Amino acid sequence: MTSDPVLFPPELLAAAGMFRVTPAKGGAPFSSGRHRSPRRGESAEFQDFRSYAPGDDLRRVDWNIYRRFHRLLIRQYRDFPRMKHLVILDDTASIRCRPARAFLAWRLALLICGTLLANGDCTALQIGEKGRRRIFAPGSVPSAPLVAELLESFGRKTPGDALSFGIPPGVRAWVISDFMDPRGLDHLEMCLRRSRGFTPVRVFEQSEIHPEPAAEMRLIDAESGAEVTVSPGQFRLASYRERLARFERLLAIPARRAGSRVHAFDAALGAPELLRQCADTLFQGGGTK
Amino acid sequence: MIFLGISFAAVCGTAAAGTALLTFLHFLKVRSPGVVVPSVMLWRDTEIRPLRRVLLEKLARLLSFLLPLIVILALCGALGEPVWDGGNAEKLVIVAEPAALPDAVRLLKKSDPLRSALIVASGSGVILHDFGAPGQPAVLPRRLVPAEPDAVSALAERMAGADGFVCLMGKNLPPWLPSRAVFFRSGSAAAGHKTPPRVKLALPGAPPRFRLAANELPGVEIVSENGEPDLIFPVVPPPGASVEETELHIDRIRTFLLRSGLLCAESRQMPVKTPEARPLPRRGATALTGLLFALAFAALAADILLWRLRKTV
Repeated sequence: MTSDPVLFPPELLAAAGMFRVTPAKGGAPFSSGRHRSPRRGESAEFQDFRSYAPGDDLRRVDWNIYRRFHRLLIRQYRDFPRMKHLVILDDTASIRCRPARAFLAWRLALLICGTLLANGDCTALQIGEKGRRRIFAPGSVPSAPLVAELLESFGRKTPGDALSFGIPPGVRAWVISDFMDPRGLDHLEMCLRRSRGFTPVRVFEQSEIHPEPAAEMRLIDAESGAEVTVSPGQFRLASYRERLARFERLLAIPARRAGSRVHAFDAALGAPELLRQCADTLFQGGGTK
Repeated sequence: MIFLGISFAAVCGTAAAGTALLTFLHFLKVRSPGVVVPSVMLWRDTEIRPLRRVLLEKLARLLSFLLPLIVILALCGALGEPVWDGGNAEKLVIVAEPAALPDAVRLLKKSDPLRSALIVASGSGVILHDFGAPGQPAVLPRRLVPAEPDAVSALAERMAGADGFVCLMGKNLPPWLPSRAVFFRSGSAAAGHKTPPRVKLALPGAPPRFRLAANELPGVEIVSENGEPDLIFPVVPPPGASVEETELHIDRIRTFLLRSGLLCAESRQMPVKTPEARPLPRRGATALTGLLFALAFAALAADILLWRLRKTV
């Protein structure tokens, strides 16, 4: 499969607002938000009674009960808050060094942001480590500002800095990246252990999973310029696998903290396959509207 | 700096040839193709520090060329057996009679042109070569052009300064020699020079037969340790001084002769070949041969270590 020449093909734009996000804790879709909360709110879903206290709104008094039992009770309703999401898109050289990786990352950003917005959640998009967080208002379809923001950032020539995974409190974060740290696995582990929980959305290539050096070659890190000479005769696949397994274990750390899991997407996915995988795994249980 | 082994020109030639060959091989070397990958994080165990890593890689690439170059240059230098005398080479002023001029020119060519001068001790008193001058003849000032050789010697002494050497070349020993002067008998008279009494002195590396006389060294003959007759080194110690006391003087004269290359030259009357002559450097001078061999070995070891440490996975 090869990446499509158009960054956001029409079917992708159309599908971006069609996914349904599974509400947290089974919230119902008829409130302002879709996520159940233990707090009282203004929704239509009844939660509990409590005794009347001076100052309470008389409109909430259950007059039927008063008529039958002569007791003043206040009806309480459940709160369905709007979730705040932060989508962080990695725009380092490692993501941009191959078009397929960049295409996939930007498409994932569009799908995730568009879906969250369409599901009524407040969503902020941050592109790169030092990029500003742009907040988008929820709507039914991915808004034009979102697409414009993504297109504008995609066209930038200068790659951004490596992510440090600084997640602000009070938001559900999604990080779209390949999570390749130019400073090595130890530095990545340090960053991930320090950070708050988030949902890692990993972009990878098959060559990372199954490396097959056929001849001696120099691998040049797109981000740092560091070089590694790979000799087929000295290549130790077992060591590589160990590092890969450690890398995957590290990604599970922030996912566990966020009560989520790691989502991995092959950079070779075309738009149709990407939509299918998003429906199956990323928005699991949501499906399309 | 003097070279006791192959000449400086031979050292330079060998080093240039080696450098050219190494450079040719360096650019001929087939390098493995570079492939830009998103990250090498999974390919190596060690921590990657971006900036330092890049610099180290560049340095390692540079060193892979520089270290063999250092090996070659150090080996070439070691073949020349250089001796470092502190860089304060004395000035040499050669005063030659017209008959000894070919010998004097030969001596001049083997000396440092920047620190050598050649005066023809004739009535005209022409400076054929001045310190550092390109060699245009210059006529002495009139007041310094007497016909007496002593006046020319005095001029030479003044030109040589306190640390310089004056080399007088002619048929007959002048009645007065400047301090730190050496007289070389040149021409047919050299064959009839009276042999001074012999004194045995340990001089490893026998010098060739050479007749010379100095102002401070009246007739004592010094023979090399093996005592072969044609290795007679007739040197005259100062009056009243024992042979042991003259060792320093002899050593300095030997150094002077070595530096000037005269020991490897030919006398008109006594052709000498000194292929195995390994004279001693001056006292306090540092033989750099061992140092250069050590440098070559260290560079070779570092190159091998670098080759072993290449980041192959």
